[in-house]
Amino acid sequence: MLFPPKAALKNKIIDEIIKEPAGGAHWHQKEAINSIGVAVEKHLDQLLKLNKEQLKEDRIKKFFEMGPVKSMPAISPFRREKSTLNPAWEESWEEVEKFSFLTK
Amino acid sequence: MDIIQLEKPLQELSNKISELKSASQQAVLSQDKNCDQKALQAEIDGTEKKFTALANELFSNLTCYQIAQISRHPNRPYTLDIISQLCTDFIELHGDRNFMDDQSIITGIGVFKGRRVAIIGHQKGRNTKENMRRNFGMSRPEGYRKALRIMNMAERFQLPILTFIDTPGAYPGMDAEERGQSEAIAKNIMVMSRLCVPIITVVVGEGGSGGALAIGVANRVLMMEYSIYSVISPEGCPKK
Repeated sequence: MLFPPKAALKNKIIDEIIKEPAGGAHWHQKEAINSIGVAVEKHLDQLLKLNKEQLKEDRIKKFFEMGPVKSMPAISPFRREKSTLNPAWEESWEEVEKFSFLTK
Repeated sequence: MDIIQLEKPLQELSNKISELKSASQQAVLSQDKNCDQKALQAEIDGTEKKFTALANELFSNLTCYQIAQISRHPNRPYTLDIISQLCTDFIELHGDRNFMDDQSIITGIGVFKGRRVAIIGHQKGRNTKENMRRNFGMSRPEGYRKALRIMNMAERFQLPILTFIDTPGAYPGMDAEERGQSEAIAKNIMVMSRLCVPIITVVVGEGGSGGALAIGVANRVLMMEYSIYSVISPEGCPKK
């Protein structure tokens, strides 16, 4: 339940661990902030190449891939007739619809 | 072992480094010819090396709770420190246009390394007086509604959003619940997952539960080495 960075990275909750200077950020604040800047700049440049739809899909895909469960049902506000992200979600969605009285 | 006791030798070394540095500065200012600058510099370098080696040794295998304690250290960078170092032309925007301005969330627009961005982040205080003003980094609903306003504005102007998480959790007080804390958080999560601008989140210190998730639905979530991200603050759910 409590995620130190390594466990969070393993479970795909985060994308990258930012290294801190020796002894933690509270000893060398400036270096720590600089490393934040470098990491953020790198990811921002990657994301600025995507268009609007890709950005939305990227975000949803990221959150659906979290955790150990691989075939999540596509209970998403962007659910279309067929999911473009992962066909496995469609099958699991059918299983959920059997129990649709639960969601009403 | 408590982290403050664990860090005592580091504190001594750090004091020694600052003393040596001030001694060398004074020698330069007073043009003291008896003082050997090179030897002093060598001693500073040696002590810094010792500090790095000792820190690597002490911090090599920490328990979860020790990491949680480091993540709350008052000298860690907060949102305003990050903004003042990395951003130029930052303009802070206040108020949620409904109730009041929440000081525990900083929002605004600025220029980050040549790119126009919108910035949202929690802010804690370094002393008691400031902590009372910032409510110890715990936001009330108006803070989340302010963040929501900035997010909508960023989408309108096509600005990427950077968010910095450092909160023990959303504020659980009576006034906060009266004004709809859970509704504010839920709406933030809903709107954030539909925004069509890039969002990058950095967990700087502790990221607790709904308070973190309300500004943490992002394309990329980054985490500092000594920070935590949890469903509740560690003291909130102890095991017997």
